[in-house]
Amino acid sequence: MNAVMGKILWVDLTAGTCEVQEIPEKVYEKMLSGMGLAAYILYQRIPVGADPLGPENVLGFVSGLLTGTGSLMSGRWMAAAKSPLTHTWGDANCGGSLSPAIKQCGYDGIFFTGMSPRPVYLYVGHGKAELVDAEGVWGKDCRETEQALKAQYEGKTVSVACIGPAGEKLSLIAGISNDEGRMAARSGLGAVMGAKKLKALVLQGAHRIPVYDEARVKQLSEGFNRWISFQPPFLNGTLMGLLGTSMRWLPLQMRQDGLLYKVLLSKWGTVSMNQYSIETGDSPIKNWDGSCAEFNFKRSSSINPDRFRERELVKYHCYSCPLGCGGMCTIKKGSKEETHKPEYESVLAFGGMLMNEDLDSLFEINEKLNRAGMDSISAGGTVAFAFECYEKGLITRDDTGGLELTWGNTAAILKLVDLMIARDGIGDLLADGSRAAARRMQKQAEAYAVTAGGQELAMHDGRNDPGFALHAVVEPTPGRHTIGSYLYYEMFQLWTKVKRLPKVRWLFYPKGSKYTADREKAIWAAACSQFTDLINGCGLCLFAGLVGVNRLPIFEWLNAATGWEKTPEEYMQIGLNIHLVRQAFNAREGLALKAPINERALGRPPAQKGANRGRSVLLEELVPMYWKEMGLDETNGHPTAAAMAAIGLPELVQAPAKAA
Amino acid sequence: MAYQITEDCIGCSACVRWCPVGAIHGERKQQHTISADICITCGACGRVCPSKAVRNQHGQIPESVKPKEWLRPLWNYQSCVACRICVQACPVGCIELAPAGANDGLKPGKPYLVKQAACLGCALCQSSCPLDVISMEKR
Repeated sequence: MNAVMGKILWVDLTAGTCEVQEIPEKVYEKMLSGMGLAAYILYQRIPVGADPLGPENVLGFVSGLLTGTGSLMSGRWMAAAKSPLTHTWGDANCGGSLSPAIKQCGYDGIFFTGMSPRPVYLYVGHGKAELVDAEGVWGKDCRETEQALKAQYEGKTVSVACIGPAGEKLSLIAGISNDEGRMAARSGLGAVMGAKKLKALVLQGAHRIPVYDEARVKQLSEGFNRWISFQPPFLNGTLMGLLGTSMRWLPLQMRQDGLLYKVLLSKWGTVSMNQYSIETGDSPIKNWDGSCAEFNFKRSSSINPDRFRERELVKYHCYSCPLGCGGMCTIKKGSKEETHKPEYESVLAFGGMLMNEDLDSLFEINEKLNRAGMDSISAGGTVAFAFECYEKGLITRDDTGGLELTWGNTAAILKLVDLMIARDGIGDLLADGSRAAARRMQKQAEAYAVTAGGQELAMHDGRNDPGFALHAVVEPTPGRHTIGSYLYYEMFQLWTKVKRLPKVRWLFYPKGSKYTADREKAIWAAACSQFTDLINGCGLCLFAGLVGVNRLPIFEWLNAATGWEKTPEEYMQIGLNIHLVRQAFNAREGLALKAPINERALGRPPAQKGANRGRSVLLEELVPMYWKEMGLDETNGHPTAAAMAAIGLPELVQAPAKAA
Repeated sequence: MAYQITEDCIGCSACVRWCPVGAIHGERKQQHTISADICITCGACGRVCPSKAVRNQHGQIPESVKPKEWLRPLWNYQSCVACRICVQACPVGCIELAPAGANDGLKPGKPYLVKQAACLGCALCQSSCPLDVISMEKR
């Protein structure tokens, strides 16, 4: 087998044992590695009805099929388990250095079952795997933990994934940290680690990763790198914001090309979109109830991307990434303390969502959450929920211990984040996300919890691009922004390689056409779902996909790395296979496959001001059309028996076990 | 395919000391063996063997070379994109990224040989570099 190691490692935390399982080549041919391998394993091994924080849940860490093959932007690792936040299939995705480290240890994935009676971490060296007592690092934050564990091992570079206090305290919005601040943040999988008393993975293998045609892979990488190297010098942060303002006023929508986005990512990282997104209505403001009319250009200048660049000391690249959208920054001007540059999501979740203009606080909150191992999207959404509840009188000063949760009160935001991390006072109520908090409060509080399926929505507004709202409710992992949208479809440019897919022909088209529900939108969305699952099977970065498959040689890399001779259509079918198995996981749990979403995020009632005024999302029309294009039962989204059988892996159509 | 040790081995254990992954076992003055599933074919054992008792994966006997004469990586920083693949590939962890403010010929954020004496000259960094910006040179 090429491009994969052909094995996974099982770790039984109850028994304290490790065991190797060989994976047949047919599984990789049908499901790839990464997300596909995780779906293949978890679907078979997690019993129906399993408690996400119990011993029957299986937590997998998987590398991508293209990771370590000489391809570029293919260093993403994924964690997957049943989510304690949404009780659906859960996954989270991260860059850093863990993905190649999993393969270098000789495995395509490491899967944990059971629960340890005491804190442990897994060490996998070259030809050696063992559980080690973690009492010494239990209680430490993510950065301290990683530094302490790395200091214990000499020689080959060590890669660590760990939880911080949030995961240890079973916060349902806890993530898993890698490289001292890169976070597999979503789905609450840090809490699964915490429940299993698994503090960290420490990986130090040095195996070579077999590749079918190394020279061809490199040749393709060189060609792709030429696109990534393209960088015009003339852009500045204010210009980006003004571009957003003009796009807002324009009655036409411009078809987006990912090469422009690549240019912005290279220069500023994801924060390049801060003001642009606020101005165009992509970024929600004031817990989804405000707009750029309130958080206007002057106020949002506090998060002008140039302000972030001023603090950047050196670029940060994930493994195999020539782009380098990350950065190491000083936490304050003049300070010597280094921190990862906050991402767009974190900045907007604690900026515009809370009407907060204090840039220092955004860096500080980002560092606090990175150290705690808590998802900044969900944390920001939950703080915004609390602020609105305070405004509406559902939370009082007595509840907050004297904190005044008024919009833009930076000191209160900082304190509330501390309380959530420590599960102290009102922080205990909020540490499990806004939906769980609302359910413990008065009934009307749920109206202010802006989630899909219980997961706080990210900073991309479906009222601006209905594709984001659609994917937030139909994906097996609800509430995600990294799978599909109309914008992503334009950028993926799949029609250049997958000939059945429709081309977005016009450079400019009427903005109003985004808000109709027609079959073409469903075809776009289905293509995005399949392609993103394919990307996640490869371990590719979403941003690589956004550069467009006319430049990203994903299909060509796959064939060169594996020796297969599959067509783009066949690879899209593999993406669909992965999606089907994740969808079937939710279906057999008896869950509604159209996740409940906060009405506010759909424009019900429509906003009165700002970029998205008067807009709403025709979700009821879009969902069945999407299910039909995916080949799912268009009445309920269930995968059909025929579709599951067509994957070609009989073990996936057997009756699942029930939870004990 | 892994490296193998032949019956010419004199059991000096020089290879054991240099093997970065602990793949070689054997009593002193006895013939040593290499675990095929652990060996990463870095070639260090062959280069340090004084009795030419190591065969590489192609069945050839590598030339013995003194460690200080081993070729070591040199980066073309104009073409290097700081993708960290070489850092991750190095089996002894002797490549790191230069920190912010680095000078003396280093480039902030780009790789450099942090522990020259530990480098095995295995060229895994060179072969894994997707953009061929590493040359192996006498340092």
